[in-house]
Amino acid sequence: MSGGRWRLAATPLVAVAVGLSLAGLSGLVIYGGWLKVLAIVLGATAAVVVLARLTTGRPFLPTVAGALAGAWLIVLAYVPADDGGIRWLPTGDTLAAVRQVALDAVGYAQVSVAPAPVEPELAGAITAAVVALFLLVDAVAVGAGFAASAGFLLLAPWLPALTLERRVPTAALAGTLAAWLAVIALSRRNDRGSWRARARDGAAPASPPAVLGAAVAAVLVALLVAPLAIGGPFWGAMPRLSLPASLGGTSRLDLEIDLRDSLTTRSGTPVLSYFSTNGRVDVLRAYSMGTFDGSRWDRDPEGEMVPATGVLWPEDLASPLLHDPATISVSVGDLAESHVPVPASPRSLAAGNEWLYDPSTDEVVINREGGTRDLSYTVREEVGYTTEEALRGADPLIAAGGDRAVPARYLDLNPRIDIENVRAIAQAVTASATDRYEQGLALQEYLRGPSFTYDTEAPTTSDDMVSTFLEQQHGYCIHFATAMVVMARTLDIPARMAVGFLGGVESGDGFQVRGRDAHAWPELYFPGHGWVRFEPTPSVQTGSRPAYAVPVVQGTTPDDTRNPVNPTTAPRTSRPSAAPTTTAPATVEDARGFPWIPALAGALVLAMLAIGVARRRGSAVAVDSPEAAWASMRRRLGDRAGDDALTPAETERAILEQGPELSDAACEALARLRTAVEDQRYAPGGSGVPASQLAAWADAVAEAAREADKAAAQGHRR
Amino acid sequence: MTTTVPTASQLADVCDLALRVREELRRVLSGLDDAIDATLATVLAEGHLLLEDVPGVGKTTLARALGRALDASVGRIQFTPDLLPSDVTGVSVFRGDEHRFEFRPGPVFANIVVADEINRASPKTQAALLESMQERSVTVDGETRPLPTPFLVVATQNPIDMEGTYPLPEAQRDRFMTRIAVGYPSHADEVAMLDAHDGHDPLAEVRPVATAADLERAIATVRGVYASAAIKQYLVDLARATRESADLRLGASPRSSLQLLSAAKARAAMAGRDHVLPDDVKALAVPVLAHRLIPAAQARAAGRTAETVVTELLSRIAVPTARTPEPTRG
Repeated sequence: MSGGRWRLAATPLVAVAVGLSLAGLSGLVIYGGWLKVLAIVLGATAAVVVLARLTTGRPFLPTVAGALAGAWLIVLAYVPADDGGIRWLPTGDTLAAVRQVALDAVGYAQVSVAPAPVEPELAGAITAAVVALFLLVDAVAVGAGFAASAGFLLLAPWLPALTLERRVPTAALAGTLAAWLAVIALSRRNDRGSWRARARDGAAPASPPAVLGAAVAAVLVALLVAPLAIGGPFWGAMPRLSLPASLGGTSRLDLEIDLRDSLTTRSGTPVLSYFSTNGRVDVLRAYSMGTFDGSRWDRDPEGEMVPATGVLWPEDLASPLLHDPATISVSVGDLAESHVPVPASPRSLAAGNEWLYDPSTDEVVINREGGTRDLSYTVREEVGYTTEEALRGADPLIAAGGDRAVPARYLDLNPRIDIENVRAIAQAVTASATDRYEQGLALQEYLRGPSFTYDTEAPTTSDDMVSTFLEQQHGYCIHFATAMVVMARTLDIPARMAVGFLGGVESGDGFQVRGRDAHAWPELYFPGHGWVRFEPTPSVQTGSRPAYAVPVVQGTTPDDTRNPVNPTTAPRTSRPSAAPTTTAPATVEDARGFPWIPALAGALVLAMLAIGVARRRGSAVAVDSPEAAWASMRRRLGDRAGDDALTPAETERAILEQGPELSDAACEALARLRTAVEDQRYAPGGSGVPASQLAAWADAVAEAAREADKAAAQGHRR
Repeated sequence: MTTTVPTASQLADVCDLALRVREELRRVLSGLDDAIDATLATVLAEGHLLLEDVPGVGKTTLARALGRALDASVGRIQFTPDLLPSDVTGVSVFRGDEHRFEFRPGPVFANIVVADEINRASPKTQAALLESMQERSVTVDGETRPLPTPFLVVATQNPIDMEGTYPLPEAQRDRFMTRIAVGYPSHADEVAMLDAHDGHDPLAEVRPVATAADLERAIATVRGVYASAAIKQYLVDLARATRESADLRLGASPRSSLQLLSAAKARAAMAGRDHVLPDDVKALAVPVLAHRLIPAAQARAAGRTAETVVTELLSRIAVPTARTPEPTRG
């Protein structure tokens, strides 16, 4: 490969590297059908860049062409016309539509939590970012020739995985590295200066197998050494080295819950790991808290314990069997609790006599030395037990006084709390709610809204931490949970706080829960159904909402919830297509049928047009002067054509003397082309040879040399 | 500049003249084509020629054959340590019958002056010849007399480390356009030479094939040969490179660039071209530049000569490609 042809191969490699970099988002978004659309848009953009590079010698014009094509394809795929059809041609209101989609994407990104199902708007935004990154990397690596420096740009998609310590597929990382190294190798292979310089110094250019071997070795070394250099063995995709778990003795949940304390340490030590047949569990629940004095929580009094065998749940289930059970096998490490972390839905526990269950607090207690330390157990959870429908179904029971079934402490409000103020806010937030479910959702979304920020610093100390928190609007999970509990109670909804762990991070086949995953959340009571978790703590800390508590995303960003008169939630019925489920998200094609056939046909026509233009202009543009024809011929002949210090005549001699003999016609073409370039450069009148003739001569010589080389190689082999 | 680019027929004349002279010179000197071509280029570029090599390789033969082939007046001076300046330039003698002084021109008053073994004469006598080379006139007894045109000095000298020589100083070497090391002939050429000299003097067979007037016309044609801006740039690049080279104590003077350009024009015209190619410059760079350069001590210690340094520079400096717009010539 010589001259500029390496660029044609390098651009697809850049596209591959950028495409594989999407793996850096693993854990942040849920992959699905939208990846196909993205791959097609990226591939088409890369094709346009390659074709543009065929037609022009300018380094950055292909980038502009690629940007235009990419933008058009993105609009085609993600910005529907007002009637829901395809926007074939940009019109005046395209910009407004694009803006609207972008705003939707921002709004969705703000309210969604990792791992987020990718709605079309978000897919459009990700696609736009990927195409932009591709064009940027291509411009730097291929257009400008700084292939090595472009690696810094390729690092960008991996930053979330790096900073959030998420696992990424090693193969994708290796693929990205390999593609990047290949681009560098291609660019260096054709750097005449350096190879020539090395050849002059007596070193032979490396053979392709050697180059390949070096690239593979470099990838391996990068995969093994880079994590150590970057952040130690816990980084992203690398095989984690587990440190001795018992370095610091046992760990315990801090149950001295005082809202006036700030969070000080957030340990990364694993406390337990589990394997689940249904993916990550939302939470693992250990304790209930019902009594709040304005700044401190107290444990619930112990109720009547029953042996923890069989199905555990305070409400009477219609059927004692779990319909859709998920099996969760938990291995506790150095966590020494008296209460066993269990999932938050009805469950059954394979347990012995030392296991007890407290129906009044929904806690599972183990009576043994060391508590849960080094305990392994299997628990089954009813998947999808709590649904919007079931929660709305509680309304008649509420009206019939169903709340009386729970202890009165779950409605208690300590007089230190400014109850009227909190109630006013709660009522304003839930003004449009028609039932308890919508009230809960409204409270949750109010606290998750943009006006509240997650902060390990507690609000200013006071006796009424809830009012302080609602005023200062920053805190950590306990503040959010407490505020929601108190607000719910002011609306006469029985509420309590649960303490346990979030679902943790993926680790091997299962999941690992670390000390920093300790969490507190509010539970609201729905008669006939039981205690239901809501998640008011912002997504930066907690991840996604429970599946049944996801509000419908409206077309715009959430309103400023500082004004509680405008709550962020709305009836969920407005867009059923966005109904979240725990199954795979609706793919982009499902949401909006992508016009594959017309788009592919359009791309094909475009490609043929571009190739036609390239063919037609190939000689005219590439070889419009004797100088260009000469340069083109020399490029194609490679080392055989000598270096820049040779005069045309010397170059001709070098070509004739080195390598296998050329045909007479080629020799004559070479002589004529040499004369033309000499005339062009040095004669008073220049050269009058037509461009087509020049190109023909250059082609004749280059082709003849290639044929001769091939014949010689075959002869050599025989 | 009022020169115009020479026509095809003018160029053909030059080409033809060069061909004929070359043929005549080959009669006496086989295997010295490079030296012959450089000699012819020097003649056509109005330069002076310094032939340098060990005795007996044909320096004087070449110089004499050139004089005969051109059918021009040839003056020959055998330089010896006791030669006086007046032996070169001529003297005024008193004519008693006419009661006046009459100037007797010296051998320098000729179209071609063959100065044999120039480094055997005293510096004073050398200076007399070298001054006339530069001025193209001789001043005797207060009267300045122009030398004939064309005027060409072909000096020969033995390498400076030979016994009984007064080496030419740098400033005087600079007056010669080219220095050509004749070199030993190849085996075959030496056998051919023995055949040619067997029983008769080949020098006697050299016929005049061009007149002084032919030569003058050819010289005028050569002056008009076109040198593009790219070529001039190349010349300057080369000269600057010699000045910047760590291997050279003294680099090329601006005069040497001018002379290299003239010589390159002559070579172009000899090839029937109306324009100079970088190949012309490359072919003549060593003969024109090397004798003016002084290698640095460490380069000399490493066995590098001015010739090798120039050759290296030629293989390194990029040949110009840009065709820059020319100012209107007229």
